[in-house]
Amino acid sequence: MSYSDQAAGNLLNHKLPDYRDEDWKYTHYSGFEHYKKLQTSGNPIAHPPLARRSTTPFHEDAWIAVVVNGILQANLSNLPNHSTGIRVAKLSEAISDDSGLEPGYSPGALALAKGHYYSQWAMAQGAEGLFIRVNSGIVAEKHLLIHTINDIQQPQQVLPTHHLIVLESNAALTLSETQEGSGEGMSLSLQEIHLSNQARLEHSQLQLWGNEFECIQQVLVAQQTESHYAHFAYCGGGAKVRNQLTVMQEGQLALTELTGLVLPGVGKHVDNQTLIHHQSPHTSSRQRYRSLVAREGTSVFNGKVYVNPGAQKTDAYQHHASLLMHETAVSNAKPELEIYADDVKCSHGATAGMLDAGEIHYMRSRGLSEVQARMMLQEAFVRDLLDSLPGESLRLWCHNHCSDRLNVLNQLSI
Amino acid sequence: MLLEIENLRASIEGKEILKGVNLSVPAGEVHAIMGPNGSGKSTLSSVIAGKDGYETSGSIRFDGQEISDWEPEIRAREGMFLAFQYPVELPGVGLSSFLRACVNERRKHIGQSELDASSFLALMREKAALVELSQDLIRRPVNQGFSGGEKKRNEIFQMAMLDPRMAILDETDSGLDIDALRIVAEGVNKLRNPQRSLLVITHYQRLLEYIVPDRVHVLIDGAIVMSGDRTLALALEEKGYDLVRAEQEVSS
Ligand SMILES: Nc1ncnc2c1ncn2[C@@H]1O[C@H](COP(=O)(O)OP(=O)(O)OP(=O)(O)O)[C@@H](O)[C@H]1O
Ligand SMILES: [Mg+2]
Repeated sequence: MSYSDQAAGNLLNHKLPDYRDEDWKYTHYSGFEHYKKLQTSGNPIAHPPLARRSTTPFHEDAWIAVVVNGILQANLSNLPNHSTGIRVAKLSEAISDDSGLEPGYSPGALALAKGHYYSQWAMAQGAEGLFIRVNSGIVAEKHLLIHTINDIQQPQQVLPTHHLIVLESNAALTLSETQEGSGEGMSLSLQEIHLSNQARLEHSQLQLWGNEFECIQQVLVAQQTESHYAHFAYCGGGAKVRNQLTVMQEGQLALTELTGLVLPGVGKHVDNQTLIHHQSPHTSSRQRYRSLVAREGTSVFNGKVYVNPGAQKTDAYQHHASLLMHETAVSNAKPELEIYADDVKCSHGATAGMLDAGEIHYMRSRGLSEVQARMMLQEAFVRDLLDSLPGESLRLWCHNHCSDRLNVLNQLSI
Repeated sequence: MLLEIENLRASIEGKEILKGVNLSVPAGEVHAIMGPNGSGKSTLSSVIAGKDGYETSGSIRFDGQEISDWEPEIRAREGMFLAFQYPVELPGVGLSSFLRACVNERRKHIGQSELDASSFLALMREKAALVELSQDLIRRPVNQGFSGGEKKRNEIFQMAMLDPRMAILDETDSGLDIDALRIVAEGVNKLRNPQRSLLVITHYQRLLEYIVPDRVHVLIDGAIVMSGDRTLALALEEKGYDLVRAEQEVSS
């Protein structure tokens, strides 16, 4: 049975999550049934017209994959050639020529068991996406950028994508994504990532959704011995966004670093859920999330850490800080630690608050306007996170995007 | 008159702190304000600088213009400077980028061109030398982790950078060690000129030996009750505020 048939079967046992599900308490998509109907009744969009090019090219010497509504646009991309040991292809192509899909790395290997309702649904649709593989021992000499564009043809359309990313042993890759979509649509994104022994993936995702656009994303990562996964989430847009990041540290000495910068807009909602499953000894994880929430906006952060009984010497750290730009801004942050081993180091912390009036006054009394003062303090709050982005031009681009966004949100939040 | 305050009253949370302050500082002069703890000296400087949260009446004229309704940043850009009694730490905000923004706002406001990076750096080096502020502090976030004395020195450095027409120094001397007091006071003296006025709030005569005032005012319970020349500070040092209170009783 194909993975999509299995997913369709799994769906029969799932119901649409709603507020009664603990995991979906803050963020649920009651309109999804309606979305689904639209999607399944219409014809699948094989080659959507490219309404516009991505607005976010980083001028960096990088490989680029342009993906429109899940479909790789080879003519707009600059892909690594065969000799590099890196393959970037359509998921369906990789499945049909099945050159690299060892059973452990087949689509659904992680998501059939761990995927939530929406991921199962995406697989059941046979969602298209990318297959990325870095061969054993290959250290990618350039960044790989994925420009994802969701181009909706009708309101409330849901656009599923499914990427499968495999780094074989000792392979290394820096992967950055920009995710765009506007109008009243929804992106449903599933990513399955396998890191073999000593593989290293630096993965940045920049979500640049329009004000009315919604997103449900699940990233599932399985890490083998001494592998390193670094993830950077920049949530700079969207009406309602739900990101789930699940990391299974299956091998010893696996290291996971999650960094998140979340900027919900006025009246908008962004929910980040992380789960790090320490399954082996000597694994470590480090999570730093920060949110800056505009007027009537909401940020949700739920950070789960599970430590298996055998996972001694686990070292897990988690911190969440939020800065509320207005009294009506909301931040819900919840750490969830389940620890079944006794020789571990797990710590977590959270802070939330507004900017200090005394600091703002001090800055104004030296000649800065209120907005300038706020911006400077907010930029100081996010700077070190942004500085950890890989690549000069990506970092600079993201700093600028963040400043522009803060400027707009401040004008609307004062 | 560069600064002219008339019948200034200020309350906070229903409590009246300033009860009719009258004060005039001509251009180029240095005036000192002394007074017991809690008499309203810092409140007076905050109100002049435009801090929110006070209910005020009366008038504050700066170079002839009524500034009571002005935002604090406008006062600053016009050349009003307050060195805080308790300078505020700005977590993560680098001192040089902060000051560059402040200096350029002031320059734009008064029709001067903004400073580019290299001329700004040169200016910083020159002014840091004036108060012997170490380059290490300039590279750090504003006041973050600075010692008490370093914060005070940093206030005068910022004053030098902003080139104000009127500067209020609220207990800049407290927290400075003996050498630092001399260095900072000498720095302030170098900033004296016929156009710039200073209002120096202090508890101690010692500062006034370095920064010699033209007038000394005594603020008690929200009003200036006595003014005199620099010898008043000496008399106060000797006799304490009973000197003023006794004279008030005699005159009433
Ligand atoms: N926010 C406030 N709410 C209530 N009372 C206040 C507030 N701020 C200041 N006060 C009071 O106003 C009075 C004057 O305070 P201020 O700081 O101006 O005194 P000061 O003369 O500067 O004293 P010091 O010499 O100790 O610095 C004090 O009694 C103080 O407690
Ligand atoms: Mg005081």
